[in-house]
Amino acid sequence: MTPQIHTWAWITWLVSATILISRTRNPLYLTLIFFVIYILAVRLNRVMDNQRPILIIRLAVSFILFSAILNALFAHYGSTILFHIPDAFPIIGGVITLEGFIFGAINGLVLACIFGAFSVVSMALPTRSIIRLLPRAYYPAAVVLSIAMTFLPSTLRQFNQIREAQAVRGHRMRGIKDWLPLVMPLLIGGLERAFNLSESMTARGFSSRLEVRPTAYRQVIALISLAALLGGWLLRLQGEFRTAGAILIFAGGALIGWLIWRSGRASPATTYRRERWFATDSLIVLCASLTWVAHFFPIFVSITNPLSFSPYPSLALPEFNPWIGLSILGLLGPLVAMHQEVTPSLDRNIPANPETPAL
Amino acid sequence: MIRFQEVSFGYPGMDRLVLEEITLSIPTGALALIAGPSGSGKSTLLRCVNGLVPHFSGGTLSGKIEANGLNPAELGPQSMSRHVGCVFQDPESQFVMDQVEDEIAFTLENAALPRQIMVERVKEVLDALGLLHLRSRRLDSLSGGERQRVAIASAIAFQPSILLLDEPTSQLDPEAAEDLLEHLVELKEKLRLTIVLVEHRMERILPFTDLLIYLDGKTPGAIFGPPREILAQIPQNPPLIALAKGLNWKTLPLTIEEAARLLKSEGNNLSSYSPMSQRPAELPDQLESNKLPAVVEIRDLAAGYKRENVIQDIDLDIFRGETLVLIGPNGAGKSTLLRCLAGLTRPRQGSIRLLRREISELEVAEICTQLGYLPQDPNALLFADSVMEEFLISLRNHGLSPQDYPPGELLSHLGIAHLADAYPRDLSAGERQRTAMGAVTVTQPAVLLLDEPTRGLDYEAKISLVELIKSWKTNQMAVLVVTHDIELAAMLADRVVMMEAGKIILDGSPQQVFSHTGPFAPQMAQLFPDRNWLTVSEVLSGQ
Repeated sequence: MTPQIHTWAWITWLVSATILISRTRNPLYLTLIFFVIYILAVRLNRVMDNQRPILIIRLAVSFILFSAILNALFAHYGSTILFHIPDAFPIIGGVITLEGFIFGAINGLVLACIFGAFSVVSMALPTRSIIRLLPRAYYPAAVVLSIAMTFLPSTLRQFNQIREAQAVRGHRMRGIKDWLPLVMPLLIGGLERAFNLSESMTARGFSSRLEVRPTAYRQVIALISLAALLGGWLLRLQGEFRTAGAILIFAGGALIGWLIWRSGRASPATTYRRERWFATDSLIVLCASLTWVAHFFPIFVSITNPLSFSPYPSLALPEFNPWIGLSILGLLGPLVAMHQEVTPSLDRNIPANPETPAL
Repeated sequence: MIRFQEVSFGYPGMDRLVLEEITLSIPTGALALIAGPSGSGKSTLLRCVNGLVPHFSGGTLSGKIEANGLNPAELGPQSMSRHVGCVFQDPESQFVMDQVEDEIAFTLENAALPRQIMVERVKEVLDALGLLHLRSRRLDSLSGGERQRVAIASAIAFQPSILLLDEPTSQLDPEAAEDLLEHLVELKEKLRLTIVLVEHRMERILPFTDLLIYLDGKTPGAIFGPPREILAQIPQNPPLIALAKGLNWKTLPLTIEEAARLLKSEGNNLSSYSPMSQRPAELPDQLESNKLPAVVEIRDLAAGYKRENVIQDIDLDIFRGETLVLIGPNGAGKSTLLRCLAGLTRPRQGSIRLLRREISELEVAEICTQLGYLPQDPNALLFADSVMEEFLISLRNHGLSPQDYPPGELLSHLGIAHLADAYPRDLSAGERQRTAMGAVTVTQPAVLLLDEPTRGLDYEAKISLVELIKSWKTNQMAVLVVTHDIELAAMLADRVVMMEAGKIILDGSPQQVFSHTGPFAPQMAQLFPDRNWLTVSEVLSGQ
């Protein structure tokens, strides 16, 4: 069962989590963020009665190990030398330091957190919600995007079927040549599936509405806004007119936003589901926003660069501010909407009695 | 009303026409069944009604098609989608969304219908197809029958006047198929829907059919009319029709009840035709007394996925030279049992011994030297450039020599020697299945496992499959077939095992088992419940 959380509440949560993850390199905060994400993933899995295993921890371990080893091998910097690879080995030759390992591991943890945050949102949001995120003028593109997203898991399923079918013929993986029996049926099967889906969508009238061609004035405005963006960027690069550059970028962005909105208005579109905003959604947005907004509050400003951490040049214990730790727990906000079971037959987005819809 | 006038069609790059001078008409509100051998153009004919042919397929179309006054060849499938709903063979391959309601609303959103109308329409079709309780379920959590009903609900959400269905029951067990057909008939009456469907298993559809269209794929044109009239002229005969023809009945029965009435009322009593004998219901002697050794011994087997057991408490022996048919509803655990035997799913409990060797000690490739396994989709096996190469690859994989295991003989035995150099994916469904079967039996295994082998096969291909399997019996090969095709089971089986909810609930001779299986019984067993006859030939010969 999908938990009762509005798509935009999830998006706010994702943006907040991503801002936080990208701002900090403190392993203690990152570990805390990771566990918050993991708790949400486990809870979601239970609420949605999902039979799929949660791979976040396994992937995090892989990311951390891979990144730590790679960084240690390539960045020969730091004061705690673990061992030495002879200089005769190109690139990896040199000292291998604990700081190198730790720096790489932190980067791996950052990647794991970002991956985890996106996984949680993609678990929680059904295809329709993802489609709706794109402006309605781009509905066909959104559907194609959603199909591409569902194509990957089905291709993996098909790959497993083929692997098993070949295994019963005595096929074993020994070298590159042995991939052929797996890849050929997968490619052909993938094309057949794509053909079937496309035939079915055509028969169901997909993209049958008349497309509205952009008028000349909209094309001119699009050009102007692109020119404004480019000009603003160049001005900011130049350095003397940075404020003017920022204004131009803002104006160009606003014009593009307006064009997309206008195009959407010109495309007739209706949606079956209309999401409702509940108090829990407001709470989720508030808690998620606090996780990064809080760092501008006076209590945190007094701390010098509280989120940063670097193991170089020599390793030291990272700082831990309990207020920042507490603010990270704001990312647990979605749990408030996951504590209760959803009415089995109805989604929050559809009125209890479909004959009297809340329009 | 659907009308075809002198319609001919050929796919691009093909020399011959798939449809040739087809003239027919289907009245409004009728359920029309299109029958005919594989490759006769049934699915092409169906796709002409909504304009997928020629708009999506390409090719050259001549003649005139009219569907409720509209010309699909001119309008194209996207415009026709408002008037014609369409459901293809594999519902999974046509789903776009991940939830039942969203999938149904997809077509309506495409047409930008006002939301209130969408909500009403979705509710209506959910109700009409008995899906209201599944409205917020994920599609991948539904059974085969439920998915098929969701696909139909999606197709009729736009309130089309015509519904096209391509082999809608091919993946369903008899009970789910009957349930689906009853829903279709209800829809037809409630919405005055014209339903046109293609189906190989005619016996399932005939009781509900108003109009039968037959394409033989050889001569131009199609014959169409009331089912009894057409059935009298065509060679493809479901069991009841074959019986009626064999007994020279004047009226052809479409249902068991009609056949039972005819047996009494028209003086067609079998006692005047053949001795009223009764076939013994016991298992054949050699199986009863275990004179032949068991090649597979399964004891206390349990297996499953994630937290749940799909099968449990399975005890089963399969004997040399025996053809064992496994039946049961969708989700009973039949395919999981096959996967355990092939080593693809590891049991959680119990043991499986193949030729007296515990298979948990063996790799899949090692197990499959002695056990051939043909999965539901033979396409997953085929990738080589020729049929012969497919066989040689299997031998190479197992480290066996073509001199010891000559593929040429197998090709002849399978009846595809003339296709040795052909590209496997260019072959017909039946030929492709034989190629895949050859690829898994070229090692001359002691046991052959077949999962739904008649899916997509026409009558002719089905009969030759039966003959092929029977010929392997003489080589003492044990064959285990999992199927929903009960008529196939009746033709093939030495022994039938029925599974339900992961357990074996019946195990015995076909006569013993089919006397307890209700809709899972062949038509002859339903017609002659006390005679132990299963096939038409048994009835006619009075065995």
